[in-house]
Amino acid sequence: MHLRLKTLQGVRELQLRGDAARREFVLDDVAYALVAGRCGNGTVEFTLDGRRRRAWVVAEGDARHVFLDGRVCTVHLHGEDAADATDDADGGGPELRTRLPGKVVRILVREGEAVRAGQPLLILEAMKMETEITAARAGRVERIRCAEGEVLGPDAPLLDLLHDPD
Amino acid sequence: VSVPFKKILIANRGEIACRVIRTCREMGVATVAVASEADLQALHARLADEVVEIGPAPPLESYLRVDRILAAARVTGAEAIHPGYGFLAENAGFARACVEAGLVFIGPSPAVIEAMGEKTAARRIMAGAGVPVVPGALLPPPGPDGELDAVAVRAIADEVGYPLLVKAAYGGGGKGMRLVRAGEDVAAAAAGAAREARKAFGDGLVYLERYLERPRHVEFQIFGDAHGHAVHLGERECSIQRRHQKIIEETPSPALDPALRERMGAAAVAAAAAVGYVGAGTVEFLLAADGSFHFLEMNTRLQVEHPVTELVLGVDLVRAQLETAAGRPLPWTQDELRPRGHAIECRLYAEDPGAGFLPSLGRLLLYREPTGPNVRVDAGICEGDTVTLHYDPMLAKLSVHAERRDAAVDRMRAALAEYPVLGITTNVEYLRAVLDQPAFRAGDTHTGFLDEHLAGWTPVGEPDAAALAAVALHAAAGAPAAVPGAAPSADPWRVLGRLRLRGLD
Repeated sequence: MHLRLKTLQGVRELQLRGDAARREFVLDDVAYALVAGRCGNGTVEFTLDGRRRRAWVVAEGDARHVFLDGRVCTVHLHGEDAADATDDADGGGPELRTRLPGKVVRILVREGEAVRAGQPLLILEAMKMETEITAARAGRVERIRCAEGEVLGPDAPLLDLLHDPD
Repeated sequence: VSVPFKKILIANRGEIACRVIRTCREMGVATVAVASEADLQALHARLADEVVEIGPAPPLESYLRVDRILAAARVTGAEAIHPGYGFLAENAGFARACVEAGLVFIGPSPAVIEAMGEKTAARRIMAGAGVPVVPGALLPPPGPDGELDAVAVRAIADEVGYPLLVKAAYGGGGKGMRLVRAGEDVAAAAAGAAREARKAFGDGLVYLERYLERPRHVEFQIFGDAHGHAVHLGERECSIQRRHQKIIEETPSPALDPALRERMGAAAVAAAAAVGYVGAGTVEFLLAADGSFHFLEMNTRLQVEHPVTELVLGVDLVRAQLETAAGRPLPWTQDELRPRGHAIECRLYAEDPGAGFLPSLGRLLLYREPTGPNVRVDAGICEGDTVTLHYDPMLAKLSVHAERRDAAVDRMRAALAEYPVLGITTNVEYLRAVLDQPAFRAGDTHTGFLDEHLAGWTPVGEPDAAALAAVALHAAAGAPAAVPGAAPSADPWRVLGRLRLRGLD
């Protein structure tokens, strides 16, 4: 099995070779001896280069969150593996959504307004802390889809921002 | 033994409501939970025998609505109300309303809550009971020319002691505040503070207060009953704080020897006796490097960090709260309270230490608790729950007990490594980083510890080879043809496991 994952560092190439019980794990051309153990319900047990490990993995869209040894990392399926990866996941589509649920404190732009990259668009409040939402790229506000004072759930649409052509 | 109450209502949510319900179940006391609309499926609402909906998600419209909570107690026939901590726990008006409604408030009397809530009144009561308070004195007001009497200021300052802080009496926000290390500087500092205070607050009144350097936050658990008994249950060291929010607590304090513990414990019991305290309370002290300690404030409720006290003493503080509230005597004498070993608690917060500790909200896609000997989890959430913006971001508390401090730190590190929370960001990695500081291992903690040692901390972020191997194996398991592990078995639990796994994908 071959897998390409996007991490903070860039794209990592992963390969699993061999049969189910005894495998070889190849990461960016470096091979490790891998013995798979039990795997189910989010728990993944294995032995990597002689060291027994237990990790927990969960999928969220094309993201994979992994917990190992007190540390959390998030990676993304990349390229042909990311069957369900869509444009708006990385901010490419016109629709701007909030990842953090919260209350809309102030809307700083108007429909039709041209905005530059990094310009504050609105202020959200969650747990008494305010967060400024800024434009990722220059463009024009096409439609505002929330109201001041409105309490939004996770992944709620904020506004439609038409990006200027690059 | 008969139960102290047949049924009580818990006017709270989250882990503390679950904690109280567990003891009630052990005692045979029926429980009523109150829940906002957002919390009807929350763990506390599911654990209780009955649940009453008390309004929309914002606390002001639900958990802080005294009228609705009292109505819930009335319709369910609860005899007493446990307030937990936070929300209405230290609200004298709520305690009074309970009493007037014929309900027992599980906590001290409204008058005691009131006196301790007002900081200057609390200081006066404590000083009167012989409990040391941070030395301080008000300076005489400036003369008609706006000038302070420099000689008088120097005399008062010498009495307070150095180093000291010059503060505006009606101030705040650091305006008019000055640190003075030597007597010859105090007159000029006081004059400057008075000028600044007059401009900022319209009053030039200035207050001097002894400044404690690198103080530790050490608190004593106290307990009293209606028969005039009061005991202390040892200390908790709570110096590891971020913006006055405790994140790691332990007992015993690495800074206390038996003699100091005896003196501080006696002061805490004197504090309890001075106000005729009934139930569980906490006397907070600032402990200076030279071993001098000063009263900070008294909390008239069960503390978040009470599990570490329970672990080293083998007691149940909630059970004792119910018994003393019902008028029974304390279940222990001072002599019977012998601590054993060392206990540490870490608070699990839904926040992102890598991004300015912003709250992290969303669904707990995966949540598993560590287990093992002397590992305790007090949680108010489970896998699949959604963390919303309405409530405190503390999700759970992880506590461990071991024979010595270093073994307890080892046990905590191991337990945190088996505490996966995925879907939202938590402070687990940050907590491990705190435990791994050599200064923490050495017990050299103070309230500025996190600023001093972890100011520039960031999570590692990049997965190592083992984490990526786990992702690869997870992906392989998701593909129907390649389930790692032994040959397919007929064990129904394995089959169920596979089905659930695919459900997640």
